[in-house]
Amino acid sequence: MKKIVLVMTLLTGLFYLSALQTRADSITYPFDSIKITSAYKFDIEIEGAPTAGSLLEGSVIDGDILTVYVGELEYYQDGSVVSASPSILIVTDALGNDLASFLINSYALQDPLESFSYGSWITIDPEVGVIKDFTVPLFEVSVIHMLLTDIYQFQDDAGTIFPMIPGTFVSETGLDILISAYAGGD
Amino acid sequence: MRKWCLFLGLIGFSIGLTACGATETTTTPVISTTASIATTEFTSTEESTTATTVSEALEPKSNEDLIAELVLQIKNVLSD
Repeated sequence: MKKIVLVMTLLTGLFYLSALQTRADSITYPFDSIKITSAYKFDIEIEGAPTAGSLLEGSVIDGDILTVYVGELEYYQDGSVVSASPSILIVTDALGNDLASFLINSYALQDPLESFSYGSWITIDPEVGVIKDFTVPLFEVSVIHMLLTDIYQFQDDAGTIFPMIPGTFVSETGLDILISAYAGGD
Repeated sequence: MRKWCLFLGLIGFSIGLTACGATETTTTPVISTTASIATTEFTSTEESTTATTVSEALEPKSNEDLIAELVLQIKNVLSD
């Protein structure tokens, strides 16, 4: 009898762990629209050759100017906000080609700076919410905000940090741009 | 001792079931925005009661389409 109970407990434990692992693959909150509430951008300059294997390799050369865009978002369902501070990052070269457009994966506050990390594997589905798709090439880039000086930096997936070019920061706040998550719902 | 083991086993099993249920994704193929599509489908000469017959489900946009729209809007709003 004891053995049966022990086996049952072990199996249940494994079942529970398996469920926890699956949970990390999606965050469930269906949404019917996305609102852009604010946005900012700044330029960075590529200095030297990009690290081999990085997201920027093959797309930029020494001296290129890239623009980093960030949009703060809210996901809505039936008129109510259903998400907590999502955002999107876009990296564009001087010709307007998008090198990356990733959704936020994590946030960290390490005074005197805060960092926002964006992952290529973060996808959204209006019927589900956020789904982590690990089948795509995995890249993670970050925007670092120096709180004391209010200076931004971009960090590529190889860990190289590119400081903001002074005077290039532009922001728009109080935006109310609503995008329907369903075709025909605009 | 046996009772305690059985009790712990049942508690563990119920936690497992709860965790499994929490991972299920909720799908809502029909959403409550059908009213907006209804207004585009009948003419002004028709009776408003016809609107109730238009209740087709809207198609969710793909991740790629949503990202593309966000990129376009963000770039536009920040353009010089």
